[in-house]
Amino acid sequence: MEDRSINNQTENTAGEIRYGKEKGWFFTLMRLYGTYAKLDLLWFLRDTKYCLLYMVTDVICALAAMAGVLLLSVQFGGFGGMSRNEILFMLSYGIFVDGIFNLFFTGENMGNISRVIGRGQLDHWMIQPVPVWIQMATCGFCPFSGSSKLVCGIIMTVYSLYGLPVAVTPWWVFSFLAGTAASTAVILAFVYIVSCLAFVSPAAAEEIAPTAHSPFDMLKSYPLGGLSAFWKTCFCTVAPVGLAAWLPSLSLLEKAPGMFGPLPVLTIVMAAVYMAAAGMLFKKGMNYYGKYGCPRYSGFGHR
Amino acid sequence: MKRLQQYTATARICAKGVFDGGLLSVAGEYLVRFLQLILLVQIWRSFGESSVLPDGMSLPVLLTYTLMASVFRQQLDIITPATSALWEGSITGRYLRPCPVLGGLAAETIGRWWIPVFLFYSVPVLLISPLLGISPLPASAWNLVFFLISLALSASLGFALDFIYASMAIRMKNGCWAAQMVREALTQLFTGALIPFAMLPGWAGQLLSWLPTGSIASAPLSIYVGGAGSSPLYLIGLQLFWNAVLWPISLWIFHKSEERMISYGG
Repeated sequence: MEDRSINNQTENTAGEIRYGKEKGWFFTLMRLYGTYAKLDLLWFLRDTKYCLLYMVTDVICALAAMAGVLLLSVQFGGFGGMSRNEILFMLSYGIFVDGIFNLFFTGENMGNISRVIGRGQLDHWMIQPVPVWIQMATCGFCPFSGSSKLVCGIIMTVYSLYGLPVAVTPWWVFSFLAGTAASTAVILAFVYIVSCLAFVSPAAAEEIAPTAHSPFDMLKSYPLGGLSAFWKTCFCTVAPVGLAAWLPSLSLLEKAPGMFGPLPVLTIVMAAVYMAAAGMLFKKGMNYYGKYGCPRYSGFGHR
Repeated sequence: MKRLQQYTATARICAKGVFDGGLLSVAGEYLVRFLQLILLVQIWRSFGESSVLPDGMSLPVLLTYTLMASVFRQQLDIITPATSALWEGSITGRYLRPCPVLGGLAAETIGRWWIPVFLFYSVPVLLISPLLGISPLPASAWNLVFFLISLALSASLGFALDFIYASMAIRMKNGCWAAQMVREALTQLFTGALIPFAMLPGWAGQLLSWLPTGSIASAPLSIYVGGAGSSPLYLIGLQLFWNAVLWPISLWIFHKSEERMISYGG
């Protein structure tokens, strides 16, 4: 994943943050979202050619990732327990999830947190008069440059629904949004859990976040219905690529009906478990970081 | 002879430096690659059980194809450090070395990726493949001979295409990462490394096999497993044709692009 941090410079000033603190964390959160949206817009306006280039690139990558599985489903009329149209919906769901991830976590290497940890850049957050979690939640926000995959995902999802006997009710739309948010949370939490290795081994694990993310890029497009129960369980727990598109799609298509209709409950539960584990490990990592710092701050200098 | 020593020394230095960042820096990548192999094997098995495989593509053949695609991934998907060095600004260092830039980049690729991946990923996976129920053996001894010739031509073609991509990256200046991303996204599908062309709809498989990218992975792997369709001589002939066409273009475009090279580092 590319490093777009050079295009997004923080512009927090002490005055702004003090003002935010008086009004509460929610106000600060929204204010920072606004600030990062403005910075992203400024990049778009200042460097339109390159910004558009990256946006188009995101769409090409999304379509290329789904093309192979789509062609397989065309050839065999569907596979893995899903019909051709159902596979198209699952692929669209996957692009939608990628779109949310890009929208909120592309900037400042937030989706590649091991780079931030390994380079000793956590210190930059700690000296800011804003809680670290608020900075983490906001500084990756790219509503303009990071929106192309989401737009592509919306279009593909709407198109795929035309060929499916799905009743699109408000509850279904809520279930879809909850499912995509949960899938995004699973991917993010998995990347953060693996990235915690960078606290104890900054040089070796600096680039481990893209590696942790790559199974989702490569494998989430495949319907896992034809696999044995053992492998299905593996791919929905230990290596949770099945939670990124396949399992929630089954719920939304009501092929795995539960108590709450199309709501992908299992994905949401797993997302909560993964987020809790990521939060706990990251906190432990921060304590370690507070004690030992980062060896990148050495005589060689730092990034 | 002296030139060969220079390249060998470059490859040796790069091979030794692979674990400089620690085991973690490469082990994760090997694990992901193995996971992908496992998933594809399981999916192909589900195809085999439902008896929907196309004519001439039996399950054992398909599994061997996927195994060898994973084992020879580095040779079938050539990515030299050219684009990343341009992005990082370290490309200037290559021009200060006492050997040609393109040859040096090729030697780096062999040292940094071919040797360690073969030793620490390919050989272990080949050894455990019978435990996964996959035969790593070629269709026949002749198929192995033709495969080795085809693999060499495939690697050569991969370098030519990589230098063309690097030239595009040079011309895109700060957008060179975009060229790299698109290339990575398209490679797996267009080369046939992930999904054999025989598994795609007829028109798509035929079209992709004629493209230069189709000669990179699909040709040597099809020869290895002795898949139905084109003969080894036809596939090798096609590879020779694309090598003859793309190498002059690659060298010409790269040397023209060098004049426009700007690297900020980042």
